[in-house]
Amino acid sequence: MRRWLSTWMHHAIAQLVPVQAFDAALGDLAEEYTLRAQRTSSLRAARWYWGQIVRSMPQMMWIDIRRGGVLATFAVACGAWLVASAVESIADAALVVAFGSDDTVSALPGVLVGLAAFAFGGYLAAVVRPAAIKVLAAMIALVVATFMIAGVGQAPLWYGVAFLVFGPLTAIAGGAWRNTLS
Amino acid sequence: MPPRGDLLGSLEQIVLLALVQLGDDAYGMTVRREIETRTGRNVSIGAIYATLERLESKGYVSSFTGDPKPERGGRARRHFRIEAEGRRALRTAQDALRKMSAGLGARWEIA
Repeated sequence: MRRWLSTWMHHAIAQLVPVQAFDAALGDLAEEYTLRAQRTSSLRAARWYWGQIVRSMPQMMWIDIRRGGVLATFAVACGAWLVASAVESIADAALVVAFGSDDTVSALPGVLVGLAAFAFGGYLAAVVRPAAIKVLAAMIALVVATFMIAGVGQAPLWYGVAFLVFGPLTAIAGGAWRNTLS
Repeated sequence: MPPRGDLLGSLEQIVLLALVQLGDDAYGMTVRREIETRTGRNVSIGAIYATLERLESKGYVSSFTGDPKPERGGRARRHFRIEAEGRRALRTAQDALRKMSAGLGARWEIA
């Protein structure tokens, strides 16, 4: 795998998993990758390496949540969600004042405001308990998917898809931004 | 004696047995490879660490960090060791399995 892509992917993983705490696990994978690359090929070893990373992510995230205390982490995520929702509601009300109640005009700014609110929520979660970022991201994905499946509201499909894809990502980005600042 | 309600799960038993087999050479990669070699089970490194963390929180294993190694990208090994409580819990779980399978005779045979 190209070095820049590998570096970028490790950086992305670092936002979800506390890499420092899992240094040993990443070292184990690096050590076994070398052995496998010598025995088979670097391509097959790389496929095995990234397969291990993908399969290990849920457990590593769960370890992180457990370390922080499961209930407390969920409580922080819920709190960040409520604050983000309140910010979004206030901003949405301001949009209605600015654009009127025409959905077609206010839809795009509505998405941008919503995503900014999720980023703010991620930032807040990271301030209190970094492990809560991924819980918040999962909550966003779950709630948006539920709303889409249940057909709640009159929003167009792209609106829901935008929130489903970028909602969790902006929450993680908000948390990552906070972690970078500290 | 481990708490009666705390019977070890199958992966917990397998990981503890791997620690016994490996002795001083037990760390994430060797534990994963030992399990794969002996059982054919391709366990993820995340599952290994999640199990080891759980066992450590119960006091069944302990860990210490070694020196960083260049072949590991400058990362250190985290070595694990089974503690007396862990050995007791493992023996209890193995005894329970032995007792439950005793006397099964022909019914134990897989067709």
